[in-house]
Amino acid sequence: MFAKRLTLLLILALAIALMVGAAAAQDNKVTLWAADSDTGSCWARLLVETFPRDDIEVEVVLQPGSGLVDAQRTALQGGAGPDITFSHGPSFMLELANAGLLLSLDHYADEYGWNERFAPWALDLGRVEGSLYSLSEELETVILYYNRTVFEENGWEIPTTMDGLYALADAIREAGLVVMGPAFGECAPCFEWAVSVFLSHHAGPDKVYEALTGQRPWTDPAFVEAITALKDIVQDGWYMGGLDLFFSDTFQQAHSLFGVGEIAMSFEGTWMLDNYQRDYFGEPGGNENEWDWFAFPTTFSEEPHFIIGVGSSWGISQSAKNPDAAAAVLDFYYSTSYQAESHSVCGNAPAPLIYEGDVFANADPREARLYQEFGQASAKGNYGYTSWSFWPARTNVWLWEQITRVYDDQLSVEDYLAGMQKEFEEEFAEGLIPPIPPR
Amino acid sequence: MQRDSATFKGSQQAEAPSAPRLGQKWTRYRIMRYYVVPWIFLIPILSLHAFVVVIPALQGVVYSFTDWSGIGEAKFIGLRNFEEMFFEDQSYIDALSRNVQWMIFRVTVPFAFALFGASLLAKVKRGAMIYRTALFMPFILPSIVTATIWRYLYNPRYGLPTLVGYDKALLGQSDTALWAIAFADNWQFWGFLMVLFLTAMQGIDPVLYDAAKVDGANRWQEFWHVTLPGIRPVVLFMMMMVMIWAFLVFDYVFILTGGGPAGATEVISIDIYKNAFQRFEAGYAAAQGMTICLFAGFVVSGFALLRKRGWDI
Repeated sequence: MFAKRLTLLLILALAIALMVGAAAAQDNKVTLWAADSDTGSCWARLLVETFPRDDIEVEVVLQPGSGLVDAQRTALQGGAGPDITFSHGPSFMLELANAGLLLSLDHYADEYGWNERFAPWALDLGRVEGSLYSLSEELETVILYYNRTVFEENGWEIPTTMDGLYALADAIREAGLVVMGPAFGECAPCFEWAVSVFLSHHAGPDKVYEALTGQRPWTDPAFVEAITALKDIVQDGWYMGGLDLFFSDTFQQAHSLFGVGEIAMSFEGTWMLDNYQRDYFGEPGGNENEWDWFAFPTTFSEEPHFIIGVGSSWGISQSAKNPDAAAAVLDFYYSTSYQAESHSVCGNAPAPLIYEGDVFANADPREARLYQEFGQASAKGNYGYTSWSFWPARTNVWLWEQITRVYDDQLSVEDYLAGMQKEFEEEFAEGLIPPIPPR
Repeated sequence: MQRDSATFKGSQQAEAPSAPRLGQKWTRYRIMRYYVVPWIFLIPILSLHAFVVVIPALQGVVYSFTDWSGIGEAKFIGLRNFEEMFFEDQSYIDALSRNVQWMIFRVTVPFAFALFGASLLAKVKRGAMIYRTALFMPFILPSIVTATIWRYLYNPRYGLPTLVGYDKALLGQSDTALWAIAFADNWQFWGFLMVLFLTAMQGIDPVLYDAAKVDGANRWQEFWHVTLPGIRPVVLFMMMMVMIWAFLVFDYVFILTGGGPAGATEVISIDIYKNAFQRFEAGYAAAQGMTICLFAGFVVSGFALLRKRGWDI
């Protein structure tokens, strides 16, 4: 009888211990979702393998398809979703924070020293009414890549002014080549890249800053001039040689033509730094060409200027089971060592941290030059704004959606900017403008 | 016999007092069998349907009357979304008109292809299955595969346009993009219609064709006076379905143009997607979704009316 009771007690104790252990393991598990792509699975594996703490289990769930953020938004609304929340950037995070779905990161920022680790403008992007809710990642800008081999063969110089760029475009066309790519047949929002650059590099970043802070309307003549200049070059066939191809070709088609030298330049984001070398130039591209890059010229200075932005943001879900563990994972993710390794192994664009020393020693020299020039330009205030980081959601959709109607002569430049002003005024009144770093 | 009769009598006498109880049992049995047991079997699927379809649908109705970003609290605004949609939002009206164009294309071109193909294949005896399979095959391909194939076929550098010396991108011009997408969609869809029509044609009594031949009918007259009336219920039912589906078109447009160029292929579902997931106007998107249900309701009502008037649908 005693033996029976003892056995029962032992079984019960074992069951309780297993349940408690399972619950504890559950509490120490931190989940993230990532896109099931080459890069996504690469950094996910790297994070899980290199995260140094044994008391926290990191689980990255790879989500197929391109709707990762949409799926996560639905899950969060239903009280589920990952502990660490991913989104396309500050304006998306602002919506989640306003809906009370994100935790404030203020005390974690103090605890881990994030205020000193991040570039100030980047950290500010994650603030809502003074509190930090998200951390930006993937430092981004848009630059002009060029086929260096083709440029050298034709004796073309790198332009430092807008007039120089126009002269170069004429020379490229005289040589029978297409001025630049890519094409946006697969990506309607990508039309925002050129608009962002022309607003900041043609009208000037100070005016854009004033517009984003509600001190200057988008209908200002300087913006009309900038968008008209953009419309003219697009209609003139700079992109892909014609509007129809610009609207319908794929990235792959455009990048391949750039690699073989039929397209002289590519007006692309810094996220392509790794891809050009890996897929389109030299042996992988089936050619012997080399690429390089230069900053898109401005109308007002010969110094390099860049529009700044971030590709995505991370925050901690309000329903996270163990927010402290999630913060520890974020802290590791945003360490300069992990960022450097993720960049080196997976080709991920680094987060906007302050990097000291030779962290990117293994990087391609062209890439290293970019981060160097970008840092110098930021320090001098020679930076403009990417629409995907600084524009509120509805105004931003207007910006990229309606510009195609401008290119197609269905909408005048004035009406386009008036529409943008209308959307902006509404969102400004609703307090939906992401934080704009002071100049 | 006597014994049997006595037994029978005895049996009757023995059962007589319990007849009302048998009646009650029978009633209970009938209630259980016809009213309770079927519901027990139905409960699982009804619950699933309620959770997956009915409740979300009702939520959609509720959200259509709200200002809601898709997350957090929704604010009730009455009919404001519908007012904006029908009287202020030109992009919605434009999208609706594209859906109507899509519907017109869908109830003409694929139907013509399918009727023509089916009437030709109905006569084929040898290798019929090979033809049917080949023509039906595109329908079972995923949209992403078909759309990608057509993206390359439409390429003006090396695709079909080069065969006729045309050097413009059909998907890149606002006046050709919608029709180019519709044609790619038709390529996938018409084989399905053809198989349905072919099956219906096989149900037509061959005597009718013999009679038509005796009367001297040619192939066209046979088709018009025998085949078409014979498959009319299937044709009209599919026409109704295709008209409803025309308001749901999304995949081909999303994959091939995303609503571009310059909004030329933006149909209602694309507009809904943008409003819900890019502009954060999920309440407005829900209201737009409601209008799709409304249009589907109009189509069904139209066909129901025709049926009431004696059409064989």
